[in-house]
Amino acid sequence: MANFSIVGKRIPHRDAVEKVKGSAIFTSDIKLSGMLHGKILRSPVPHAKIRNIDISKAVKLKGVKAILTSKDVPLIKYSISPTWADKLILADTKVRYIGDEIAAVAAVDEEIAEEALELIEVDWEELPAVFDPLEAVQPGAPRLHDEVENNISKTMSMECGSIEEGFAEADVILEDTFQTQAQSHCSLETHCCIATCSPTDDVKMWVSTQAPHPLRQRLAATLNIDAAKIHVSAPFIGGAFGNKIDLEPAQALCVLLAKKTGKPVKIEHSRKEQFIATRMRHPTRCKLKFGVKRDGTIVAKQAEVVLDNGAYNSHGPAVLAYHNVMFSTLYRVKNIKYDGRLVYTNKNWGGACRGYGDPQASFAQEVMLDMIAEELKMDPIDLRLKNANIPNEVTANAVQITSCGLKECLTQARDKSEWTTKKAHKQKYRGIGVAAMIYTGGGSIGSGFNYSGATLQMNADGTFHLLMGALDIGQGSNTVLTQMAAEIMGVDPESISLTTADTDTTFPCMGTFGSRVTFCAGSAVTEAAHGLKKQILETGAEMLEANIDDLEMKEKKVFVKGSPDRSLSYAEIGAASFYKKKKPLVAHGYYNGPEVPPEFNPVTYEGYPSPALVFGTHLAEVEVDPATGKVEVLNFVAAHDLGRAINPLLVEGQIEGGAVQGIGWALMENLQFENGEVVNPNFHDYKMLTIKDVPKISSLLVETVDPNGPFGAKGIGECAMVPTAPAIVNAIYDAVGVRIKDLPATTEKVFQGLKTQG
Amino acid sequence: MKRFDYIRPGNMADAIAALQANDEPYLLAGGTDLLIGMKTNAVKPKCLIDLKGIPGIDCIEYDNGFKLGALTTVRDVEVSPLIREKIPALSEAAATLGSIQIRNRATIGGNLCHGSPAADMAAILLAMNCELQMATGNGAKTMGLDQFFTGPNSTVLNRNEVLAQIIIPKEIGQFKGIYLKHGPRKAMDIGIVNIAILLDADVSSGFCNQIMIALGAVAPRPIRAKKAEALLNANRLTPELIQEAAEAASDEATPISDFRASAGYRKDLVKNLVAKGIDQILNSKDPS
Ligand SMILES: Cc1cc2nc3c(=O)[nH]c(=O)nc-3n(C[C@H](O)[C@H](O)[C@H](O)COP(=O)(O)OP(=O)(O)OC[C@H]3O[C@@H](n4cnc5c(N)ncnc54)[C@H](O)[C@@H]3O)c2cc1C
Repeated sequence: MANFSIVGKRIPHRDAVEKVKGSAIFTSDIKLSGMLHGKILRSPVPHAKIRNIDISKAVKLKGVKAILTSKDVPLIKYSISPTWADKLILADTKVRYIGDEIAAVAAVDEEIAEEALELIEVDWEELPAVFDPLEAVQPGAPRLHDEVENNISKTMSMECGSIEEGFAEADVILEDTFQTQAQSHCSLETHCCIATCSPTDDVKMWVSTQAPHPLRQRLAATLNIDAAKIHVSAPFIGGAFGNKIDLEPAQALCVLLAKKTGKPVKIEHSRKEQFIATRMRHPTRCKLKFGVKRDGTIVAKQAEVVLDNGAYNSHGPAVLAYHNVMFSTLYRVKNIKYDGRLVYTNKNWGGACRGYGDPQASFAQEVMLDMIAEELKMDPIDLRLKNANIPNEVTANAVQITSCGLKECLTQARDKSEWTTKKAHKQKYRGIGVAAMIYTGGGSIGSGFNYSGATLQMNADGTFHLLMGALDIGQGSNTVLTQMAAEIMGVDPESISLTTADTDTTFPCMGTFGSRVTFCAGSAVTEAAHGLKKQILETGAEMLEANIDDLEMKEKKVFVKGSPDRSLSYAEIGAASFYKKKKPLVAHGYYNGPEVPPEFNPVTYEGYPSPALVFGTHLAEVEVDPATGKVEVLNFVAAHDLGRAINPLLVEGQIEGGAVQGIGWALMENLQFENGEVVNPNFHDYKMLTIKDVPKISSLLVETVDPNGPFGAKGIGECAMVPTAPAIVNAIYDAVGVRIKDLPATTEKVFQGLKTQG
Repeated sequence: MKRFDYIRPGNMADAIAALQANDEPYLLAGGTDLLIGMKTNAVKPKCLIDLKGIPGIDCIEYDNGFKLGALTTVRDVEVSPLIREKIPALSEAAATLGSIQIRNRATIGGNLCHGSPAADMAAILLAMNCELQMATGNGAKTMGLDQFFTGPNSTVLNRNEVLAQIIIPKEIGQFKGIYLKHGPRKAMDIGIVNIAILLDADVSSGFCNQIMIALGAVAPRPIRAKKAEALLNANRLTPELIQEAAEAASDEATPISDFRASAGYRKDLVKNLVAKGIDQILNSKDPS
């Protein structure tokens, strides 16, 4: 393995001290003089026509400074892509779910703003609503969007090889249906934004977002103003998990309220708003049919999928595509058929949520594999090894795999968990389960974009400043990306300061999602660092009157090989560049890759182009209490092929966090709806694991060193929760023979399973 | 949250007077129930009367029985060496409530007065045959805890009454107890079913002198499983009899179905946990 001095080291999070001591400034902490508080009136009904909105009483309330209804805002629809735009920032004629934005108020304090909301009178004509996607596609079902027939927002069909011939070849065919539930992101910090607007209409925004540059573009498009008039800056971010990629109506409304009042306006979501009216993981229903040979070879697999979109698109169409690509690409199967539908219902709408459809696909496929292993009397790990992807292959759906450590993940997790011994000596009520995964490790350029830019400059004293559009939302990219720059410049990470997440000072970055930042922003940073290194050497060569090829860089010095006395410190070079040569040293890096291959089919998503693919295996050991059905996770092993761990400490943080979110989704996290209303919009009733419920988690880092990744790195962030739920559910089956096909595996479901066994 | 006045009386008489003098007053103890309600506008007090300034209202007194001041925090109940020694089941039940941070603020009086059918202190204290002492506009008044709860989030307390003390009778010291709470998590959970059992039995013969079984979260208020108790009292605890009693307890439960759990499941849990609890007490080594 290559010898690095900074890369690969367990360096603590750059922000750790500030966060632990409470001095980190989040958007919510910012208070500007004269700042007003905005609140949003939301629909209390799931489906209705708006006949009239009367704000006359509300405007008279002392302390109210502005009220917006759809008459006051541009009626431009948005989503993450203009092709799927279906959402207005304020409803004009119709509301489609409980939580839909109807009006916005700015007042001198939050209490008055809330009181004003109560004074706004809306005249409704309630419409029949539909909550189940299978009912929504029936003829005669209530229609959410006039132009969308049968409430089907998007379909996706793909066939590779011949599904019919595949099943004809099979010795055994298994079919079953699997369902997954809505999950809320539950980031510590709710959505929050502050906008100011100058008399010349220049907007400045502080906002909790994962994607400042795309947010500026979406604000510009939705509000019909030039992007140059909007400056978006993200302070510390208290977590996001996919929920802060898309434009949030509150952000656009905040800008308009600031424009209208000429005052700074802050809008901060309550936890309830966060649960009922920001995005969630799409619920899915996935009918699978698998054909296998007696030796375990999967010869055909077929999926019929319904993704419950909720009332609007946001990321829905792309999540459907990811569901297909992840389902179809994992394992070497020649014949694949996929049919998916994205269906509107009168509920809160889905969005990006850690894993982007992949945890749902993984749940169905990996539980199905467990059932196949049982049918074939084959070890579940052997079955997966038999079908595992291998490096440098092109899959049946034309996806190019470069590095691939799936087999290593499976075998290392098996050894670490003592799988073989535990399988041989089974204890009553205890069981062990496995699941594998694939994901993109560097985002994707399926949409045409996968950009990240970076600028590295040398200060006059020989220290450095790194500017990146990429932002740290808690996962640690500021630490990891400076480690890369520091390795190349041969300095400590502390001698590199940072500007990030600011649209007016940094090159653009598509944002922090898709497990893409280490790969994409890392590629930009390493390019910039190599460029700057070259400039430093050139400057050194000129000043030392030496040939550039004879120079070396070490310990913050440039010197002539073999004559260390002929040297210049970084400080001398920095000073010379600023004051003598009047040409400060600065280099840029920009990534937008990979090239979109001609095989990519934007309709079926065959040939889906991603810079790298990552693989992993989760293995869980559980114990079930027969008196209550309660599942305790005793041990957890997570092996991930992430290319290279630039910082193993932070990688383990991602893996542990992913496992916790995944176990939560497996056992209890569930955003529950009754007639379109969320019945558990608080942390009392929406159950996440507490620290006491978290088992010991062993992380295994499988470093395959990707040929294209910066220092060989790929990604990890989202991957860490993808195969968790099926591993748990398979372990429950191993423990007590209860097969959960419908998440979450609540104590009640497990108990009922035990009861029907008798 | 709406605007409100805040009063902190220095003695009980002033607290009662403040209750009578103010419009829509609410008593404030730890605030861990009340403030949640205020923030969601479920309750809109015009005036908060903070009881924390009343001297001695948070005491733990022992003279064979216990006297617990209403403002004693749940954490103090949990960690009190005397309670751990004499009636450990109370300490164990206290340890299941919320988290340490919550227990540091939550009071046992607040837990009872909020009137939740799932309140952890309610089930265990009900099994302990507690008495309550109230301060009222017309002097002190005493009643059994079994008379206190009237329905979900409601008690017999009148507007001018303050719960002052919880009295645990002397005899409880000779019982062994257990508290079983079922929820999806290990902490920060309101029970789907709570079971408190106090048993005075002869360990060698398995003869039950007396048993008290309280059920939480399975009826409009915390209840005693009287039929199950009657089956077991003055009888030998055979596995068959325990099973029969567990089923009787399950019959006495009248739970609702909601998004947290179905009524049928809650009834099954009562049955399994009552049986499990009695078994665990009989099989426990350390005398308690
Ligand atoms: C995160 C969290 C977790 C929780 N977990 C649990 C749990 O696991 N189990 C559980 O049982 N509860 C739980 N609770 C609820 C709560 O903490 C308890 O019920 C607590 O004991 C209430 O006590 P308090 O002192 O905070 O009451 P307060 O909120 O101050 O008061 C509650 C009610 O009782 C009235 N009141 C208080 N004291 C008196 C008195 N002396 N006389 C007359 N009326 C009075 C108040 O007016 C109010 O109506 C939890 C709460 C939170 C926020």
